[in-house]
Amino acid sequence: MLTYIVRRILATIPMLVGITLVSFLLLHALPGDPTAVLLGQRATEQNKQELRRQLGLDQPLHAQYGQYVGGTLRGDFGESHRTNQPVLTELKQKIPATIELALAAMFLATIVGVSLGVLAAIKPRSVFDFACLSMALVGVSMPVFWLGFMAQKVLAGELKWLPFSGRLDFGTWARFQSDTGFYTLDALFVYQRADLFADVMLHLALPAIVLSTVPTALIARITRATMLETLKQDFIRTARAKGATPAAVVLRHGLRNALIPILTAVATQFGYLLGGAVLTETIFAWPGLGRYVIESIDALDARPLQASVLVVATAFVLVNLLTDLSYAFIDPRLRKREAA
Amino acid sequence: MNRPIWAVTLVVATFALAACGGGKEIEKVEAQDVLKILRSDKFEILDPQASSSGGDVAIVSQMYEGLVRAPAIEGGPITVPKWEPSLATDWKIEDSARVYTFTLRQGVKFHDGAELDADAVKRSFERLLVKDHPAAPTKRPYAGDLADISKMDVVDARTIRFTLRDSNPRFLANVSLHAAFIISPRAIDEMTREKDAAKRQAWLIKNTAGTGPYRIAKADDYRGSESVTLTAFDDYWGGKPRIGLLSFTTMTDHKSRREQIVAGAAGFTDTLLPSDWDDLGKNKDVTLFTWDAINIMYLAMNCDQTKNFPTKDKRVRDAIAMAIDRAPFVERYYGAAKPAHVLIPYTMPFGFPRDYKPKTDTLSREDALAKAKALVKEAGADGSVMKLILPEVPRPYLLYPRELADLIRQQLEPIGLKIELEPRKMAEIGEMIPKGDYPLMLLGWMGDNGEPDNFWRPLLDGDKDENGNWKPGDNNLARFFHPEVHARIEAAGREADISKRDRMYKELEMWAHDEFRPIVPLLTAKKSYCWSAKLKGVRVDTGDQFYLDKAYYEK
Repeated sequence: MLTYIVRRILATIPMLVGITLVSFLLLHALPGDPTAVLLGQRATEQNKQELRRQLGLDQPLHAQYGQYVGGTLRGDFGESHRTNQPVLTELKQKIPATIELALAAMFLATIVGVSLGVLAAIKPRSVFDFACLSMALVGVSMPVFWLGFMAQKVLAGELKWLPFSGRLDFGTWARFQSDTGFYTLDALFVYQRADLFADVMLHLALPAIVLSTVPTALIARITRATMLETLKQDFIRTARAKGATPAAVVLRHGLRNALIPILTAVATQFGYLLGGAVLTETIFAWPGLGRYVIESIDALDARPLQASVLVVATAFVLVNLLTDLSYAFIDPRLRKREAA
Repeated sequence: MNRPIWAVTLVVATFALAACGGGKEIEKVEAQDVLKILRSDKFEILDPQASSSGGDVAIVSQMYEGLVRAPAIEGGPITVPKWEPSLATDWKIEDSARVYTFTLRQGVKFHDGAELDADAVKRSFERLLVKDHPAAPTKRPYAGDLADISKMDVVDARTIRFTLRDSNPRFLANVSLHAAFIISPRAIDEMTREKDAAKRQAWLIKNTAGTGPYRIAKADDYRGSESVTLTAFDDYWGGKPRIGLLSFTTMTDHKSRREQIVAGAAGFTDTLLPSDWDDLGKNKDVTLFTWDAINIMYLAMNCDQTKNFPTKDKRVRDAIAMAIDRAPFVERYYGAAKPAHVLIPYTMPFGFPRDYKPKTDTLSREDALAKAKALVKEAGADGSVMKLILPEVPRPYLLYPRELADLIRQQLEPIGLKIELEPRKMAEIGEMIPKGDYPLMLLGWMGDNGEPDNFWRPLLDGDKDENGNWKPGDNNLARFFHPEVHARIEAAGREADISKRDRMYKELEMWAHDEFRPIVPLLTAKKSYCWSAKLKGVRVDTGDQFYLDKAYYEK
């Protein structure tokens, strides 16, 4: 198993190098002179030359790349010309917001998607199965901006069950300061206030529900298809013959064996969500990575864009790596094959 | 106990323990002590001298004040601007508007405890104007508007005198700009210690240094462009504001802002779509405030003779102007816009020739189209393909950029011009303008200070380059410069007699469009704010800015 883990980790290294290369070239790929992009339209030629020298843009490309990788390893992503803040400081605010939302959405999507998929697979071609498939189809095809707006209108506007937008009601909790960037953790462990935690969770609920619709639908469809295959296998018949309860047959024997494709789907969706859900973040004024990228693109703000691409792509690679590694724990056949 | 039950018990126990209290102190704010404000744009630079976006200025205007301020909109047409006292209680204009002497208000304190005096005013202006000032921010986009100050004299603690290089009747208007808001001398000292200009500028995000009714109480009150909380200033010279906290949140989506204000989840919002105004006007829970703002939306036609665009030929520009029918543009605004035929909006207090239209706009539709088609043919531009640059996102004067650009495309097709729409980001547009690599651009301009000069100079005038040659300015979309137009803008801007200035600007309009036709003015759009019906005492000024120092909730 160790060989498997080491091999998978080594395989990610070229990918990570490729990511640094792509994000590095991004600055040069943006329209216009990179110094003009960094300094804004009112920069003088002298300002541009000075910045060119400071950034090492007058040096050969390979030397610039070396400096870039060195800076990245030190956590120095430069400064945003839009806000004049270090990009690292801004990423520390944006990344937790995106992770918190992505985790909440994936939690919902996994619970609901797997449950629906399993239930549909138990009784294929039943009314329930048809309903699940239809819901999955609707979930995949529903435009997020429309769903988000309707959810706001009904759940926040008409029923007033949930807040409209944002991560917290800063009007009510004006003195809230986030120590970790994760508001749920801050509310629970820093402030230790149940009412504050409830407010954070209520704010999280609506965007998480909207964001979870597509992953829920995909996970439900994959779970159903995989479970249908698995439940036809001989070992399931054997388990039934041995007198295992229907729940044990489905969950312990069926679901566990169907887990790898489901896990792959969950991990892939989670990877996408870590890239920031631009529409959901915009509709719900969620200050995450997706909106940050869009704002940086709008302002042609190269440094944040470069850093965001690097962070998102690295996160995606790492999530996939973890998923691959988890296969070894879930599937005993993999362990045995590696041992052999 | 089996594993799942253990896990659930552990999670519940952790949450219960964590939530039982004893952590960092935090108080809930009562609803009547806070106003939740939604903004359509972001707020990123809270340094009045560096800010230029509407989102920034809305926040800065709650914290800082200038020597004079714009009057409130009282309904009805805006008249010749009468600047109101703010940090100055009185002023004297001498030597044909070349010397301005301000008497400062007594007992005014900055948020950091410093006293307002003439020296503080001088130091604040120096930070704005002096080249390589040790406390200057990275950029000072409005410094040029006050660059004709040649001398500042501290006459006594309460009196400051500005001497200008030349007569300038627009000086009071420029002093009312946010860039001229007064920054505390202590803050300037603090910023001087910081060697990096970007960090100096960012210093004012975490510390406020104004005299205004609200301030940033702690560094963490600013949470990126997500939200910012402002706290009432106890020692405000106008009396402590009745609403203790202002909580600003960026919400770019129009529909979300409308839903939140209607549901009572927010107390105040800016720009709502005109299509919603009718419903909002009938809704008893909200107050919809709309006004005739000073702005213009126009089509710029590149006049640069060194570029090979068909628009360099005036016949083509005249043809485009003839082919444009403003009616469908105005219709799209549900009555919240009026057609424009000249550069200066009808809402400008002076300099707008009320009953005048350029010759191209006086023809019947049939005649206009026939003549336009003939002109395009005569100029050899029949069948030309031209790019029309437009912003990707709406602007306050251009709420529907793609639809309106498409209207232009449709209207120019019958006269033999093929238009390709090219939506661009505002930052890209900003870079494109000085280069002028486009034939057509659809954009607009919002007035900063109620002065016609604030339209003519940036949009149809120029600056000298390093070699002393004139070139169109960085906001001059039409890349138009003409020495005579420049001379007339300059002369009107220096004329101290308001009635003469009014006439000079009107005459300029009545000559420049027929003579050169660099732009096709399209419309002037109304603007809106909407707030909870319980909220009273909101002040909106002729500079489109809102103020909440006298705001309160009606019981």
